[in-house]
Amino acid sequence: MSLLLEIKSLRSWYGASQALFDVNLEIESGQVVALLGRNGMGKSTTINSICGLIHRYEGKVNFNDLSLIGQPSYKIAQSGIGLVPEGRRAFSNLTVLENLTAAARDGEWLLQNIYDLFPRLEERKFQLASSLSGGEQQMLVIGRALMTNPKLLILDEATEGLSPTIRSEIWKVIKILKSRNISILIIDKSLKQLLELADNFYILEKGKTVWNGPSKNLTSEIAQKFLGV
Amino acid sequence: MNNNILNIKNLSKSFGAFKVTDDIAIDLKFNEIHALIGPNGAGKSTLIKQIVGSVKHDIGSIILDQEDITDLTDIERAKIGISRTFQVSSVIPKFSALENIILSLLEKNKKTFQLFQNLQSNKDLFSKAERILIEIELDNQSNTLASELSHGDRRKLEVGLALAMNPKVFLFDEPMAGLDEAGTKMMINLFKKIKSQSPILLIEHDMDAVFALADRISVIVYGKIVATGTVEEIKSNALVHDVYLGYEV
Repeated sequence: MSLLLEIKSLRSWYGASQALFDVNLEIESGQVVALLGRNGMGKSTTINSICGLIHRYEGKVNFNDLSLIGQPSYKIAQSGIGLVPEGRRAFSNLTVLENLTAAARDGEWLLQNIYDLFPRLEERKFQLASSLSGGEQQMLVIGRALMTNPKLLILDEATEGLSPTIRSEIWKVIKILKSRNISILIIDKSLKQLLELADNFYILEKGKTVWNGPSKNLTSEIAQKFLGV
Repeated sequence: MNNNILNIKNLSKSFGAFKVTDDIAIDLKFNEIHALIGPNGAGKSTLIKQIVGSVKHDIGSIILDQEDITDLTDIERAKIGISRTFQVSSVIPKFSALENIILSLLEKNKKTFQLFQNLQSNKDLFSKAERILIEIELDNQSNTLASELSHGDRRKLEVGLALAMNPKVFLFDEPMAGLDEAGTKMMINLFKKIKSQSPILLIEHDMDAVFALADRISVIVYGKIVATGTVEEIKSNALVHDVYLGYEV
């Protein structure tokens, strides 16, 4: 496996207030990596920094040996990072089909692959995204990210606010993506599901990476200490 | 008359040909948490909007504390004691956590917005707001702008705003979404404590939280209530498993 994403000593700021102090994280291609931490510890800020959505950040963020620091977010997306952001954010005034094709790029993932993964999207392809249920919107946003044929898929709370049946549908899809060797960085509160899925874990506390390792090393003592679980 | 603080009867709403709520009857007793669960798009949030008055019903009635509020506006309903949180966070981003709470307290006390300029001297208001921040475990973020709070902390702040309003009923729309496990535990304990002050109608997809909290659960599917019962009754209802819970619960 080769190193896909390398983050070293990442520091980020919102205005004058520093949110990240020393984040370190690595993802090898084909790996699923889970980013854990309590609310407000810097998980989403780390993702926003990777995607160029933070105005001020320093350190090393290399993706496929390309430095992402200072790059505009559209260039970062073009380099092969697909983001499924917290809170869904489908393009509400576009149809399902338009959402899926708006940012599509050539590659293995074609429209029909997305429809095979989420048959409901095909049934609703001419509906406006705003008319979809929350679960369908989440499927759409995952499909939209896959249509960019990313080398790394980032899922930020992709199962949040979904009914139990839809949530298990989304987890099944994430497992399918893993089986197809798609590299994934995932934030989610369902530790049980993550323990079954992720190859490696990183825990953030107060803007710093304080622990990392595989699931077998993530003991209940560590979960209690850093996650309050 | 009865021991219900909120009585909803025959409530229906259509958008064009689509019936989003269909002959809904639901009540909320004193000292109760009544959870409303159902698939995404089933009509839960629309029902909450009808109760607060931001979406007008087509037919039906809503009685709050023996007063018919069916024809009142959303502002009038808020004034007489309905307080909601939103599925998507709605705090004021440019205000700090403390200022957001203070604004809610001012609203409750019917003070004008201009008074906000002179608040430094109002120790009573500050200490009330600080107590609420302690209750929702945000006291260490008191001076952080709401826009700089994490998603989970903004959800906590929303509940704080509802607490500041001291309403007759709380309507909480997915308050656990985005909270970590410790935050969820905090919220569960908080809800258990405040339900005797004001009963809670709770929309939530976190079933561990719902089962830990609910005195009764109603299940809504395609705008209709298909089951109401205790936690055990709902857990053993085959239809509810088919349409919502699945088979891993």
